[in-house]
Amino acid sequence: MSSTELAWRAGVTIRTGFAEYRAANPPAVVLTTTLPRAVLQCLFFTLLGRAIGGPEGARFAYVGAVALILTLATMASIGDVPMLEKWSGTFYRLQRGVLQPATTFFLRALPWVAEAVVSALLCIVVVGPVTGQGALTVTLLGAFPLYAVMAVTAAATGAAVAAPAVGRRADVLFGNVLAYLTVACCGALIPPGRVALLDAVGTVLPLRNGILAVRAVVAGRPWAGHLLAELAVGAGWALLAWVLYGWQTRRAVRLGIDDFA
Amino acid sequence: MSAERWLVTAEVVGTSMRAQWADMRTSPLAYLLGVVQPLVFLLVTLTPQTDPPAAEGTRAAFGVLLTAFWGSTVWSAAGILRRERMQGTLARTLTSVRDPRLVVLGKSFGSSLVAVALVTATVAGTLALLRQPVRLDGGGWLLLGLALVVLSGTGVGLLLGSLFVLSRHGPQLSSALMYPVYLLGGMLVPPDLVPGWLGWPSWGISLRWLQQYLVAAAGGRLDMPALLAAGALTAGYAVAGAWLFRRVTDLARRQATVELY
Repeated sequence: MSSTELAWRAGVTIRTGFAEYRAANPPAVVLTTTLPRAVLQCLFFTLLGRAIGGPEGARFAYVGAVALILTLATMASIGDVPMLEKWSGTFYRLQRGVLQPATTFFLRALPWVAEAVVSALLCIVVVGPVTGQGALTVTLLGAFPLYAVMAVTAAATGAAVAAPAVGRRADVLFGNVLAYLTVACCGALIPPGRVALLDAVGTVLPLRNGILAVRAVVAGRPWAGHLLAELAVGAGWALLAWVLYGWQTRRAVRLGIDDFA
Repeated sequence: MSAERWLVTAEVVGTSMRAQWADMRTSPLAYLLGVVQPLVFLLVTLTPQTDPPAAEGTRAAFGVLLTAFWGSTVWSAAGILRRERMQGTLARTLTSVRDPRLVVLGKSFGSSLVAVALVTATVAGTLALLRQPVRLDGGGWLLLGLALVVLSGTGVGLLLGSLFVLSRHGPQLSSALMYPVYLLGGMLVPPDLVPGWLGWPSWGISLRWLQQYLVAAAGGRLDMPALLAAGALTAGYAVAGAWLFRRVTDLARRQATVELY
């Protein structure tokens, strides 16, 4: 397959992903419920941080809460991408396709990554000023590319966790448990060093190193090492997702089942 | 109302409760919102603090209980009528001999009972795991408060359930309704931390008064104004819900959209 043809196929797949997203999430719903919910969640955790730890607690929580918003689309909801094939009974078409099913799912998940990125940006520009953290808002805007990287690593994790869930109709359970586990273990709201078990689990989850990178930017410390660690964790989950979807596909062909059953 | 009518009413409500419990056993949301969410919220609230005193542990415990309860109530309210639609029983319920509001009332009550039980058990277990001291004086008054929590959830379930009859975007609506109450309900985020112009809606949220009442009761003090406010609001929700449900279902039947979503 030539690079031109590959680019065309990728483009069609991405456009299909956006069409699917728009069908399930019309702009009116996104603007009136999805995005406001993200902002309110970020505000809630920031104010919770203030209630627990005063102004310093609010600063700590604000940086982490923006990252947690990324999990709404990339962990709790991204399971809809493979699930749609199951609901529609069209997975057998992906098996016969030119692109690998894993590639198709990754490309169709891009709207969810876009939603996460837009939500995070909105949270930064609204929650910071509302909670009297204007200076930190400017710093976080400068560090926004790190949040964008975290959106991708979180999506890779969400996609990997969705793979075994699809065949068990457990996408809602798996995705949300992953999201809550990330809330507890990624260091967004609970400072590292408080609970050893949470720290240990957090080392293999996305967002932890990305949040450390953002905190390093805020504190004026080196952040590149944390960014590389975040990319490594995301790459690991992406590889796992690739392996799992490939295994599911071969198993479906071998056993004559077409829908991850 | 004659004795026979009371018996039939009780039978309809009781059967609806049992049907709701059967649905909840297979629903991941019941465990997500009844176990995972309160566990994570309690960790996030208590572990950043160093040796929080019993008073703070008590405040956090009831705050998390009510916060998780609200989340569970909102999702249950959407799920009740959505499942009726999916199971093809909504139209039959609406056109049956008995008042359809009894079915929604029974299911909401059943859902609230399970939510309170699950969340209370999770909170108690997590506090034990963290070895967090709490103060729980005023046993009878506490039980009264918890009973009012269940009734409040029932009333809200009836009120919110009406909204979900007319919308196909129930999950998005539920998602959007969670955080305004988390923020304004005075449960985990004290009302004085919310910007002044946003503070007034909390006066109409029964959970705010329940939080105030339960924390006072746990400390051995009876806060009668808070109890009365919570009771009045609960009754208001039930009356408004009963009225709105009838109006909305009549509208859906006129528009022939009862089975569409």
